Order: sequence, then structure tokens, then C-alpha cells
Amino acid sequence: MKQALFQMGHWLLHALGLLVLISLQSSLWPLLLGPFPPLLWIVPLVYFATYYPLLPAYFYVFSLALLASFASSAAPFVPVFSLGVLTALMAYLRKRIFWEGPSYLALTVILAALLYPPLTWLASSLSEAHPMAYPRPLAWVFQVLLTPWVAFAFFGAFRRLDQIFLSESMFRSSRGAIAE
Amino acid sequence: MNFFSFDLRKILIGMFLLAIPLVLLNVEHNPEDSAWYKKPFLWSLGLLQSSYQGFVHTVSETASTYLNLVDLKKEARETEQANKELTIRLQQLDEYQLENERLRKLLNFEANASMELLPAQVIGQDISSDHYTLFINKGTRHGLKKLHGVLSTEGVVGYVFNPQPYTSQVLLLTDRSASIDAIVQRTRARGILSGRTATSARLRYLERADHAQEGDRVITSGLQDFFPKGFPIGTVTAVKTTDHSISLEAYVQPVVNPMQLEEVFIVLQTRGAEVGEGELSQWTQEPPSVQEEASAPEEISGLPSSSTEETLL
Repeated sequence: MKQALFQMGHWLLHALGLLVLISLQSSLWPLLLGPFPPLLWIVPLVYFATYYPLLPAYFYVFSLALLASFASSAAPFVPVFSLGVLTALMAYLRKRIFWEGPSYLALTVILAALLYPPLTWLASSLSEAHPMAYPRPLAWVFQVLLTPWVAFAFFGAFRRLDQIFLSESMFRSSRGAIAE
Repeated sequence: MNFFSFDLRKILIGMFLLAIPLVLLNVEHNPEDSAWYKKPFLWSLGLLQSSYQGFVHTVSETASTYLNLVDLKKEARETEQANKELTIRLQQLDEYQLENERLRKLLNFEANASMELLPAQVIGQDISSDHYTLFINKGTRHGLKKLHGVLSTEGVVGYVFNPQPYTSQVLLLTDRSASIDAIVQRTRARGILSGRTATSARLRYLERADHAQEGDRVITSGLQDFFPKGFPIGTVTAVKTTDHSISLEAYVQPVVNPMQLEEVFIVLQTRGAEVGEGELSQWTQEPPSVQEEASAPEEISGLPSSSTEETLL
């Protein structure tokens, strides 16, 4: 029971963090720093995809991607599909190459920032009545260049939250020694 | 290897994970619904965005106050001089105002009251770089409803598509999902305007015989009741023709750059308002031609010119 409450608290804290990141990306950055913000909200989702066992990773990624879709006019299918594919890709990647530390998260965030726009284009073509026809390459370049730095900033906080809220076995499995 | 020895649990989990995106495919068929479960999230997001907007506003105000203090002495002298000039201009404006009121009464029309407008501040934008929406700090508690038109002083911005109690999401005319009934001002050809890129739109379903051409001005048709009739949208930059298509498509450069907006107006009620030619020139920022300048040398934006006065009288 206690563990379930801790797990729920962990999810709620991440949902709150996601809300802050979305508002930073959609409001503070454009007001202060210009029209090409980094994909801040994707960083925690990539973290789950990179470090958690597959099933919890999908739970966190799907639920939080669905929340994030409320802040966009995009159909919920688009971010959920794109991040679902990315989660599978991260699981595949970490079985072949993995090292501890924030630089690995930064690498996966670069990959995610690179692949997310083409995946959303694919999802949009599959599902939307008016699919994406004119991508914004400049926004894409800025996202790839700026987003990984956020991974360095947040990695420690994510690990600390995991340590406090997750069970010992889950935390151990979330350190890269993937137990699937 | 036994072909039939498979892990049922893994297959079920896999099917479940695949089912979630497929279920969400159905959700998008009802994009108009403002579901209850979105409200707490969007309310909190609006709260955060408003506080960030307030923070940025305070910071910029403080910075500008400091910069102003630096040049205060110099400005004081300039202000004194400007004050004298303004006093003289104010007297002139009082005259114009009286004249304006008199002429309005004569014609018995409500120029500004024909549209009920609500000002709002832009507090955020879409998190997806390929969707063009804005968050504004007004919602249903302020009288906003879905499909209310959104304008700036220059032209059409978009329309409200996701109103929440204290904030709303505005679908910009540059978004590919937007649909605004529009006409080409010169030929009166009708079409549907939707977004193309971050800074351009396209006017579709124009008839081949309509002869739209580069430089034509595109205005609202007024048929949707979101906007007053004749409000500026943009200018045709190119016309696309294909042999097999029965209609034309024109690319339109909006008069407004929606991504650079800070304040907008929501059209709460159009009351069948129509923006006439005289008012259009007031909304668009184009400089008057040499001929116009010669005929109305003392024209002030928003006030009738001497030639207009003659017409009204």
C-alpha cells in the first residue's frame, strides 16, 4: 500500500514537473528568448524510456504524453505514437550500448529530438485530416541543439526522485541494469 | 524450437501497448470536445503561463524604468517641450472629437459599437512546432465561446477553439486545421483560407474563372459570424493552377504575424458589422498614396478626413 502511494506520488511529481516544463517552453521561453524553444517536455519522457524497464516506461511515457497533448492542438495519437516508437528504440539501444551518467541521457535526448519531428510527421500523415505538409527545419535544428543541455540539468534531480519514491528493486533496475 | 511455445503474457502486454495509440486515434475524431479531464491540467498550465507572462512583464517594466531613470534629466527637458506641443495638439484633437461625434450622429451608425471586442494578452504558444496556436488570458468566465474570432489592430489572427474558464487556446489562421471563409476583395471570389506554414496561408476552392492574382487583398466574407465582413486577412502572393484541378489555390501572406503578437482582441459579437472601405484603410498599416495625402493633409488615424466629412454631410 505504502509503495503504491509512493509510486503515485512519483507520477504526480513528474506530472507537475511536466506542467512546469511545458509552461516554460510555451510561455517563458518565447516571451524572453525567441520563437524556437527546446523540446523541454520531452526530456523526462526520454528519461523514463531510457532508464525504466519497458512496462513502467510505457506507463509513464503514454500517460504523460497524453497530458502533454492537452497543451497542443495536435491529436493525442501523434505524441503517444511518436513517443511509443521512441521508447521501443531506447530499449533496443540500451541493450547494445549503455553507460552511467547524464551524458548517456543527453545522447538519447539528441536522438529523440532528431527523430521526434519525422515520427510526428508520420503519425500526422497516418491519422490527421490535415496532415503536416510544411515542416519547420529551423525549429528542428534549434530543438536538437538546445534540448540535450536540459538533460544534464535534470538528470540528477530525476535520479534523486527515483531514489526517494521508487522501490529498491525498481530503482536498481532503473539504473541501466535492465531487468526485463 | 517449438513454434507454439510462446509467452502469452508478453503477447498480451504487447497487444495492450499497441491498443492504447489505436484507442487514441478515435479520440481525435472529436477535437471540438473540451473534455472534463483536460480542465485541471489546462487550468494549472494557464496559471503558470499567466505568472510567467506577469514575471516577464515585471522584469521588462523594471528594466525600462531603470533605463528611463538614467536618461531622466535629458528626458525632462524634452518632455517639457513635448508637453507644450501636446497641449496644442490636444486642443486640436478636442475639436476633431466634437466634429467626429456630430458626424456620427448625423449618419446614425455605431462605428465602434458595431463590434463587441474584448482585449486579451498572449500568454503562451503551442508546444508542438508544427501546430500554430496561442494561449490567451481570457476564457469562458470573460464571455468567450468556441469559434469567437480573434483580431489584432492589423487584421485577422484566428479563432478560439478551446475555451477554458480563465484561459483559451486560439487556432491561428496559419494552422493547417484552421478554416476561415474569405473573399478576394477585387474580384469578390470566395474561398476557404487555411494555414500553410508559420507565416503563410492558402486560399482554396477559388473558381478558375475568378482570376485571382498576385497582390490581391483577401478579406473576411462575414458568412461565418466569427468576424465582421470585410476585415483584412492578407495579400495573395501567388496563384497555383493545375490542369487537372477544377479550382484554384492562392497563397496568402497574412497581414498579421501571429507569432509576434502580445495583445489581441476577441470578437464577442459582430452584430452583422461590416468593415467598409474607409475603415479598412484605418486597419491596414499601408501608407496613404500621394493623391490621398494631397486630398486629406490633416487626417488623423481613426478620425474622419475632410473628404469623408463631405461625404457624410
